[in-house]
Amino acid sequence: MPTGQNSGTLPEATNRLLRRVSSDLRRGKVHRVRITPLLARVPTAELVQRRRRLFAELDVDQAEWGLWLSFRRRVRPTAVHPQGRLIAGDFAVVTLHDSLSLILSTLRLDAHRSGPHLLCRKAYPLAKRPFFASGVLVKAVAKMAAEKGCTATALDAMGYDRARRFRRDMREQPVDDALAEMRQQDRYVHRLEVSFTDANSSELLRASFDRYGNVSLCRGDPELAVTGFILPIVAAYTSRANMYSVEVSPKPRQQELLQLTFPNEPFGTYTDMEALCDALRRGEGLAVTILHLNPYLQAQVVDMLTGVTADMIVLDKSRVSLCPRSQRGGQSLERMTSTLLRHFGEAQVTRAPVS
Amino acid sequence: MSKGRARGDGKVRYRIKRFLAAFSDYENAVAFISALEAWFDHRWGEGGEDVPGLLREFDRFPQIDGLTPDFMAYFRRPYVLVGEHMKTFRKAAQGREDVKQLVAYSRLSPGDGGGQLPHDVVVFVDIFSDDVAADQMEDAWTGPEASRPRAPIVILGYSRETDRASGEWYKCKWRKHNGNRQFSTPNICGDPRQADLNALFVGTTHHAIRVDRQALELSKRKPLINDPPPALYSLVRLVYPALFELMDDDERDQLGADQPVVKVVTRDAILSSDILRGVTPRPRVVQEALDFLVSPLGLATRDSSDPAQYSVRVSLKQFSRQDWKKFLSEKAARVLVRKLKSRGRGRRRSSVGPKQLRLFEYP
Repeated sequence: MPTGQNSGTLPEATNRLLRRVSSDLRRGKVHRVRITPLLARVPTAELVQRRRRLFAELDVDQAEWGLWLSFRRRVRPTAVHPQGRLIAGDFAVVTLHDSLSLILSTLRLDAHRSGPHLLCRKAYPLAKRPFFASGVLVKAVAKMAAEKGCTATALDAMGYDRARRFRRDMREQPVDDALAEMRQQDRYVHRLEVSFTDANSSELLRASFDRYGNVSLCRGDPELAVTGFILPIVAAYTSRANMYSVEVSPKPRQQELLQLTFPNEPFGTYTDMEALCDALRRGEGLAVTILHLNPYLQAQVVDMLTGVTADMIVLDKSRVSLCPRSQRGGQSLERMTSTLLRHFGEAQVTRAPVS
Repeated sequence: MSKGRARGDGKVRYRIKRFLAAFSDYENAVAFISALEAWFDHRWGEGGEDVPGLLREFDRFPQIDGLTPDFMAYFRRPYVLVGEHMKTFRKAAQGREDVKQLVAYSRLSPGDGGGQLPHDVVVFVDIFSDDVAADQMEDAWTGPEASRPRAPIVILGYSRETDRASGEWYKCKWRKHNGNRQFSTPNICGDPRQADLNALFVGTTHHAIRVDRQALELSKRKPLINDPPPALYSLVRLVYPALFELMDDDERDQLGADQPVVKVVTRDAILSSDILRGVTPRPRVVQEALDFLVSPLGLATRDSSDPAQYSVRVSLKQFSRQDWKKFLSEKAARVLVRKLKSRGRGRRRSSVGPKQLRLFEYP
């Protein structure tokens, strides 16, 4: 397996960790490796410290490549487990550089959800998860395949349309075809399970990739996924981050706003605009209040976790404008945007003047 | 709301409807004044399209001689337009002092340091009551000298056009009723070749003012007009956004971990928050909203040792998944109706509706 050829981009300690995980995977000690990129605003140690109250117990061990966390968490009683459960597990937070960490877990899905996944979900506003359009996701997968000189075959494509209707496509096909087929039905690929095969049609890697940049690997070398997929896609994302830093100007004429242009004119009726607000409400801590809904939409969005307020305006059939009311709303605008892209539909995001 | 129509549900629904109506009336007024501001700026402001630079200032919150018109537009000529927005114009016999108020505006003497500036008064009323307004003004013009207007009072009827999906328009119409006057000439500029206010409003069948993106941006910037808003509106638009802005890191972490937070605030802290800096509501507005939060909403308590301090309870679960306007109005309506019931009327009342509730209206 061609390890080492890209190791220049990762520190040696991280490489050692990934090699260990890789050999566990090969020997069947673990079944899946899940890697989530997290863009942190504060040092990882502080992030973990401030999110400690999510868990009943949390032990933090310092390692050369980052932090090793062991958690115990009590889960609410359910019909299956009327007594409630205590879920325990451990996972790694690998610090790559100041702002990028990887959450690496080999836990089963159940434990993964109440440990590493919970930490990622609740990390905001101390850290954010990047979000990519489905086109970007598929392109990154295709590019990774081209660089490694192998073929990428989509085994399973999962996607939603604007009404959040889910569709799954389990035909084996090239990744581009999977995207095109979803597009034909106005759907976006949210998750893509891909098999990478080399010229001798032996499988190098099998993993699923999603629009948050999560990689879930069941065969192959995790290092390949990190250097081939996560690092380039995150670098492309962060280079666009300053788009969200819309300043609030004291002069109305110089005020800018963030404009999302959706294809296919989705805002024909009031129900559509209400669906837009509901989609935004799915973002945790985003409180949406409709101020006016006849015939245009003006809604107030408060990001309760950062205290930033913005107004969402829909005046025509395809464009949504987000205007911040508070200074320094960039981080929240980004979150609002990615929530809309995730739960309503993908759109082109631009910064535009008010008039 | 529950499916079954239990007793009292009608009363609750009625109150919710009234809360929401008051909210949207105020919101419409804000949108209208903002649209006017954008319209003036678009035509005659700096970089305006008709004649740039004619407009010196559009004051949304004027306070002059103890009066608070909805706006005052200062032009360089010099000329001042004092404006008022009303939903309905009622007769003096119905106990409202709309006429007195307008006459007082016409007797104002706006000035800038030295001299007095010539001014007109314009009042925007709903198209259903502009004739009432004109009749009432006619009485004022022919009435005793002491209460006669001193400047033209122009009545413009407006109607909200909501049919088109592409936005909202306010159609403003000047109608030739007895008591209606025209703008004084010259008004905004001395050049007779330029279209002035008379040409735009009086000389045409109607003039449409659009609620566009610029107008909505202005209404976001200043979510108030010069009249005090209903408590529900100030809660949604001012107090809660300020409250969330004032939280510190630890409180936000608690919220993020799904734990309820009790935030202690004072009226002055809210007034000096970043988000209200450009708005500067009157302290009474915030005070009333905070009191509304204590009772009937019961979402805050007032500190017994220091009455300036309010402890407001917030949790992510309660606030993030729903429309604040709906949630708060429903809660307030339920509490008010429950209070009404517990006042101990022995007899069961069989009918519900506005007639019996009128006695206990809030505020």
